[in-house]
Amino acid sequence: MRLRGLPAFIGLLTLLAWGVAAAHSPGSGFITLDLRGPDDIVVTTDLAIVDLAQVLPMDRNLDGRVTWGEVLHARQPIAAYIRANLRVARDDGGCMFDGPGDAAAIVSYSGVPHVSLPFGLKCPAGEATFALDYGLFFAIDPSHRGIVKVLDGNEQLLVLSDERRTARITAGEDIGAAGMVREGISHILAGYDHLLFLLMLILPAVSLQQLRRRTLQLAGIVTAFTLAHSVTLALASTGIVTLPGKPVEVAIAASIVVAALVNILRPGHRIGWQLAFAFGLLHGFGFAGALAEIGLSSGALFRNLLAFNVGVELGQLLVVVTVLPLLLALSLWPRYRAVVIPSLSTAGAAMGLLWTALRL
Amino acid sequence: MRSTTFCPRIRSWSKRHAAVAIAAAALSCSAVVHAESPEAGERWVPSSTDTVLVTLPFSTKSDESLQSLRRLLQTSPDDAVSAARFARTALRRYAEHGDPRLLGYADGALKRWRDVPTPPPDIWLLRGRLLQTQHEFSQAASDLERLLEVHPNTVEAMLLAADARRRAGDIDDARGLCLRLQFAGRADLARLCAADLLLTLGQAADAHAAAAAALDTMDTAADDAQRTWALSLLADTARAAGRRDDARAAYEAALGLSQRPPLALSLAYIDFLIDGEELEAAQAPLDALPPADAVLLRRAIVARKSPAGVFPDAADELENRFEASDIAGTAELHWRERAVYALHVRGDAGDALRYARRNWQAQKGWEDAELLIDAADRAGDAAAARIVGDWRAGRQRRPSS
Repeated sequence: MRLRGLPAFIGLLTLLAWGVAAAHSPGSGFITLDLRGPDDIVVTTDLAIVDLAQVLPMDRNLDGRVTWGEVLHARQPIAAYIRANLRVARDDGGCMFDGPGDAAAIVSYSGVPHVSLPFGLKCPAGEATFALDYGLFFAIDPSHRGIVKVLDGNEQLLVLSDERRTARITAGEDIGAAGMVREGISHILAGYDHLLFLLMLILPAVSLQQLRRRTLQLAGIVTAFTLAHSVTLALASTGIVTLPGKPVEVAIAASIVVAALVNILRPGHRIGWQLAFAFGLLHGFGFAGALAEIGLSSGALFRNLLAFNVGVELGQLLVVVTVLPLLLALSLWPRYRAVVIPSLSTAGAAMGLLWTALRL
Repeated sequence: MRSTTFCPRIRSWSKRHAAVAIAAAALSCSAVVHAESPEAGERWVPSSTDTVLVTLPFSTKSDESLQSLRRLLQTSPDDAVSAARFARTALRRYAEHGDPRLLGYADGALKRWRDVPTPPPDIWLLRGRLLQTQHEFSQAASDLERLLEVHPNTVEAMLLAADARRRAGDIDDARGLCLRLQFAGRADLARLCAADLLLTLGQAADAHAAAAAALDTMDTAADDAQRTWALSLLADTARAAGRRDDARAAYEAALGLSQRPPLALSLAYIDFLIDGEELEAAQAPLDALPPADAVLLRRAIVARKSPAGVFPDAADELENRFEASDIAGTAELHWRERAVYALHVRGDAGDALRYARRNWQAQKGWEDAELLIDAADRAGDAAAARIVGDWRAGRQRRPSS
């Protein structure tokens, strides 16, 4: 038999296509859910014009091309299509899409132009638990993927398909207090600048002969440093005080140079705790930068802040406890103050200068 | 920075732009490439309403547009005739453009009949063809063989099923289907079908002879589409047999038959040019083709072999698409491209062999066999180099007793 209406051998040509041009990633829509604050949520939808042309009359004049003017004209129908097929809810209460107003842009993925529309989301008050139901384009393309990026300090990436259309999103809670402690420890252990500064401060406070007095001095330095950077870390993380990141990083590197120079000029000085406090304030801003990258959810802000700080202190103590026996042994040498402190401080100053220059 | 990332460049990109909170563009690595290219911004607003953003690859003045067929389908989504017309056009456009969305659209139109045991024959055939395009070769062949039980003389189903069986590695079944074409009165198609099988089995000279004989005896009623297929197979077999002049003549004849030749044919010709180090000749056609993944792959190879400045972004863009495919969970559809890319662009024979072996598990065409042999040779893996030879030896036609 001959199949009705089937032009001869079209199948063969399609077949041939599979001989070589076999790679095929599915069409995708890109959604960004930006959780800036409890009442400041922005959804940006980037949808391919070719996909939209399958569900909406994008090509008004039917010339086979879609212009920017035609996109602008279709903006409201596109928004309506999005509202009908993309649902966001907080704690099971549906969110309202506000927008896109006049905002529209073009963005390309894999060389395919997408219409980008931003919407404000008005959600019922609640916890930071969202449900996202993605139903765009599945009716015309079951292999379509919805690629959802959640920005909540962290970045979460979710891939939704016709078989799995719904995602539950818990913002900013995927790390927990123990995780924040670990983050604090790993940050201080990887933070060579903070550690070198601390080392410069404790060099003059080490002496096996005057163990009790020097131990008190050492404890004073560590406590002053902790107190100071805790204060600024809290101030910066809560947004009460903010400083631009780059000058802070430069100043942190410079603080190493200052502490080292004081050691070189006056190896027996006892102003370690004052230096620790003064510059510790600066280092706290540096920790805040790291914390911002990890992300803090507003709901657990203080718990996470405390946990991160505890981690920093634990890491700091670990380093001090590791380095101290070596320094105590060195301090038995009569020329510890004359040779060891200036030498190590000179090396520290050189390192600090180098970082300062690199960060400028 | 602690973040969920899938592409190192995205990490730096989103870091730079965190303040402006438009990180949606970073969802695709490809956006980075465009952010870095001079002519394409990451997110931009055209200055004029007349700016053409996209030429819909699915509509032409001489043919039914996918948009108009979509409108028909929307008014009656359960109508088999509308669905078949739409799916057929989408698949044909796919063959020309290589845009994977078109496969998805065809799938969408046929979805209503996905699990229907005996759908209308048009729908049934398209369903089998779609399964095959999704690399479900055995499932496609089974579905088409069931179609042949109900509609035994459907020549297209025989061809598609034979091709699916061949790619699945079921050579005896494929032979049976080729023979069936002979019984159906299409000796020319039976010869072409056999030529394809011989090529897969590494008998390039015999395959070339079979393809030439098929062309000589081609039915006078054969249309350009049939001749295109026959000529492209003649070219492939000549290329495999090392007969470059014959291959060139056949490719050029095949390409000359159609205003919109199948993408696969254009790519086969470009591969032929690259094989012969005719890189400059390959550039113009590569430039003119739509930027499908397979086109980017050839651009990246030509870029690697040419002086700086030729297709400078192709490799990055392709890597981004591989990563995007990982995210979308469709990595298995890219093994062949990844193997070729590793072998000819990155020069990593070990990686190439790993991908080529996976690809060989998934599909067993002539190119897949050659790729595995090539990768195994370059990796110096003698055991892997024997895989194809052993497989072929076990499937040669046994002399009848």
